[in-house]
Amino acid sequence: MTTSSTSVSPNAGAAPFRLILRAEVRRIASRRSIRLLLAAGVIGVLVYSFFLLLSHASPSSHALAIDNAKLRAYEAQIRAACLRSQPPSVSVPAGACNIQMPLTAVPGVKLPFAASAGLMSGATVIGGVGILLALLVGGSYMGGEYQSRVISLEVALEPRRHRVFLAKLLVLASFLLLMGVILELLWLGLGSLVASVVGNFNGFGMSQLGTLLLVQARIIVLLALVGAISFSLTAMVKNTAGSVGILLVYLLIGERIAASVFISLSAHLLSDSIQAIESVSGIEVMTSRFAPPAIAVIGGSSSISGSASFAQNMTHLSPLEGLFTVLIYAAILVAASGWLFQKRDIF
Amino acid sequence: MAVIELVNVSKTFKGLRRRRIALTGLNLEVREGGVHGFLGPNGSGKTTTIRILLGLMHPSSGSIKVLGREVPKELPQTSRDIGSLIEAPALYGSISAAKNLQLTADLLGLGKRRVEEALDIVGLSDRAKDKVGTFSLGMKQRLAIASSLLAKPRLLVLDEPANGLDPEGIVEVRELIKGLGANGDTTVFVSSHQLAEVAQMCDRISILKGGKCLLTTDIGSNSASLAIRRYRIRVSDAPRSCDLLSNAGMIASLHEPYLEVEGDMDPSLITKVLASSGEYLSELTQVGSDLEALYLQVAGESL
Repeated sequence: MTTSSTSVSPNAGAAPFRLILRAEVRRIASRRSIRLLLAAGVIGVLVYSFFLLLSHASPSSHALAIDNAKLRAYEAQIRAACLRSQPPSVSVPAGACNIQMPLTAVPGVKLPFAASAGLMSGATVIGGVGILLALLVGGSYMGGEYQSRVISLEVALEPRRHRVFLAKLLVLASFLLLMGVILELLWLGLGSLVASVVGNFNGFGMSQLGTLLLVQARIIVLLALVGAISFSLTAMVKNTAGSVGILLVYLLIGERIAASVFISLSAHLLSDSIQAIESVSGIEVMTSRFAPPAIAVIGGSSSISGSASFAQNMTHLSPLEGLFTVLIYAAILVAASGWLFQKRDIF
Repeated sequence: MAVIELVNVSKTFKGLRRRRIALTGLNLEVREGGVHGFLGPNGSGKTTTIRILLGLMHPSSGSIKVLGREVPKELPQTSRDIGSLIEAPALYGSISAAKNLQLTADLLGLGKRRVEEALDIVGLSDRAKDKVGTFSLGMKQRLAIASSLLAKPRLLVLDEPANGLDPEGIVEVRELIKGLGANGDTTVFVSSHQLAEVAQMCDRISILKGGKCLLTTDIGSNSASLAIRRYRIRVSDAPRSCDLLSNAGMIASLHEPYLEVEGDMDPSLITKVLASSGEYLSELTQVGSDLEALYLQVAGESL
């Protein structure tokens, strides 16, 4: 029997996982496209805050009285125009032309920025921008590796592909969590500044702050999950534009079609779940339920009466249910793309 | 010891509409040391073979050993001993040469010093801080080779390293590969379809065609298998010289205004025969490399 001799190399053995993780951290930090996306997010928060500064004001009680007088005059003008427009033969019901308008309807009037409502809606807006960024960061992180062919270099150096995939996923999720924290904290600071300059903190106590922080925390977790979904899809199609396109088409059209085919999906749509996570206490969603025909038992024999139908009703989707649904979507996609990454040829 | 052993390796790509066979029962052995050329026309399976060697593709069947370890099963134990460059350089254009290398060095647990050494080997130390996006293709290729040298590999696998390079870049990369092969620590396995380049830098070649290895041979000066040579001669009286050389036992043919002589002989013999009859050469050129002749013999077509 012959045996092949193998000389022991000083290099023998692949890299420990911590080295792969460290390399991935430096890799994501060195990617210009990702740095630009993060900068775009920060600039977006700054621009949004600046816009709020310009569109709100803290009027004095005297200025507010003048604005209210303007509003009454404006409402009177509209009422007069409304009455004039009615045909003489028609008797107008009393109060039909009494239109109540908000103060903001008066041109040039600016209202104070109320922290109690504004900070929460701002956090949701920032969350929406964050979702878009997470989608692009997740996709471009993996897509860029294929485009630059660096993925082949990485897999050649670390043939245990699952370690490369896992390291990338962990680093991406951590990056997106950090991005979420930066954006939401920035908003918290800037939103508070806006409220103190051109608004007020009336009705904004500790419990409101707690609720706001809870929603922000959920949004931050959501960003990591959206990034993981986008990353996984890109690992499957090996192309950023392709994966982001697929995801957008699915969100805009595909899932409604999917829900009409698979009825049980209608209470677990990705877009609804994302909205639920971003809301304070969840949302109401329209769901379809299959209603089978009635079965009547008469004299020992059963007979079908009526016909099958789909009953539609409103269902409450809580933020936690939404988070769980998105987590399931992400887990399925991560598992599928991880398996494909392991089994398929890299190019 | 063989650093690469492929036994009966096949690879079939299964598409939605059709199957494409890339490798069909490929057998290949690459000895330790020197530069081993992997020749073949485009689509002959060179890149597929290299990707399989590196674990980037899974073979449909067959057995593969690299540095004595089974691929892909035992590849993690030996991957750090293999440096590679597959077709285009895998680099980020927006960061510097040194940072690009550091990203790979991080994966290998290597520090800044080794990055500097690798840059020095490929002659890019003075451009270490420049963005890779500003580099010529030749420089990018050299940088990619530097990246593959970071871990001081025992085996360096280069896929078409001269592809797309200008003449200056080709010379740079060729000299670099020759130097690496000559130092004795690294075996270089280089694929190419440029015969002249391979002839100048390789000690041994394998010729691949249609997914099969047709021949593996040394191409050193003592190689008997590369004995076929062809020379083009310019003399004042070509028909007479043709007769003189034919009478001396050489295969000479007239291609006015030149003569072509083919055979296993030293070119000094041609000058001796002609000079002794008062015919003096104004030009003697070897036309077509030994390797080209060999390739044509084996593969039956030009690259």
